[in-house]
Amino acid sequence: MILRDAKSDTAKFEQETGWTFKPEGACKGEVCIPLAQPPGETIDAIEVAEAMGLPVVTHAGGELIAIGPESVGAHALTTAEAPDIRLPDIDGNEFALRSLLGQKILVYAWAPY
Amino acid sequence: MPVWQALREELHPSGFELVTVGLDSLGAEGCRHFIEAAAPTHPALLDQYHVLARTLGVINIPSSVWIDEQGMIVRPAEAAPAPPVAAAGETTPERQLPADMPQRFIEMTGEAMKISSQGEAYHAALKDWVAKGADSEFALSPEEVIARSRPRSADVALGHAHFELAIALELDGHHESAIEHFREAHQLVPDSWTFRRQAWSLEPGATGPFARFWQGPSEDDPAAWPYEGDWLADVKKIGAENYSEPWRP
Repeated sequence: MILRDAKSDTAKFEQETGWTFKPEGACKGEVCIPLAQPPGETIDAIEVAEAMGLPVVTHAGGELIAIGPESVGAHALTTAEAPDIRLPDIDGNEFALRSLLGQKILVYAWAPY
Repeated sequence: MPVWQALREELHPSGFELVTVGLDSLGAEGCRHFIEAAAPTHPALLDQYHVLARTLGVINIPSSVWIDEQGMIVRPAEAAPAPPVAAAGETTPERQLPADMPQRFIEMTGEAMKISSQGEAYHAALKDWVAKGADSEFALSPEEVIARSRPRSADVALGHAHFELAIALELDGHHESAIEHFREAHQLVPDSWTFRRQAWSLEPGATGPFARFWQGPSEDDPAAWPYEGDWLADVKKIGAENYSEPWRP
């Protein structure tokens, strides 16, 4: 995920990373990473990412912050539960993959290059 | 994409939906032409930051991920060949090559034709899953889905952060800084073709309709190419027949 300020809305951090904050720590599927204290409504995303072991790369002294995915399970997927992917169409309307629950879905990745 | 649309129309009444996702930092600017030409009835989405790479482990295109009615992944990211009939039609493109096609494209086309496709097995499996659901032998258990998803070391995870930063820098107009982080991403995630192809497609190796497919040094100034590899060199190095991993039932 890309941030322009380390102070992040906790809900946004959860949606983008796929990790949910619970009393036992940051959780995804069956996996939980213990945290010293549960975050409030806003967090310092760099601090929390580092506590969770997520990679952080910054540019221009923190004007741009990239937080990478987890490697805790040594695989791209930590759970088989499909992530809450939300992406726009060509008109800019956001579409949530989860709106298709109840159907079989084939997500097809392509590129114009 | 038309062949996939036809398949979607065929399977949609059985509770199946196709969601296409264009992985391109240029977003609508890069994908609009293709999407509008296809006029899809299914969701056609844009993914400027390659969220599908980070969240699902997509490393090449075309790839697919199968998700069941409960939102569980039953097949992780894997090569998604075109349906067999269309694949057969695509193996004789020589007659369509324009006479003035640059030598590089003639070579690239030759290599692309050697890329193996197991369209028949893949599409038989897809139809089996749509018909039988969880009883299909091709619907994998959650443990198998996780185990078959891409390996991810701490270095690979770091490479994803560099890649996303590169895209953000590119969109902010800092092309030279973007190249630095694309290069880091390429080193850290060497098995990702999309990370390389995306970066290569942003370099003006040629002009006109071929520009984004050139994917390598320009003929006029090859020394200006900022990356270690390029599409043609990298495909030749591994062998086109190894470009896609073999499909596993």
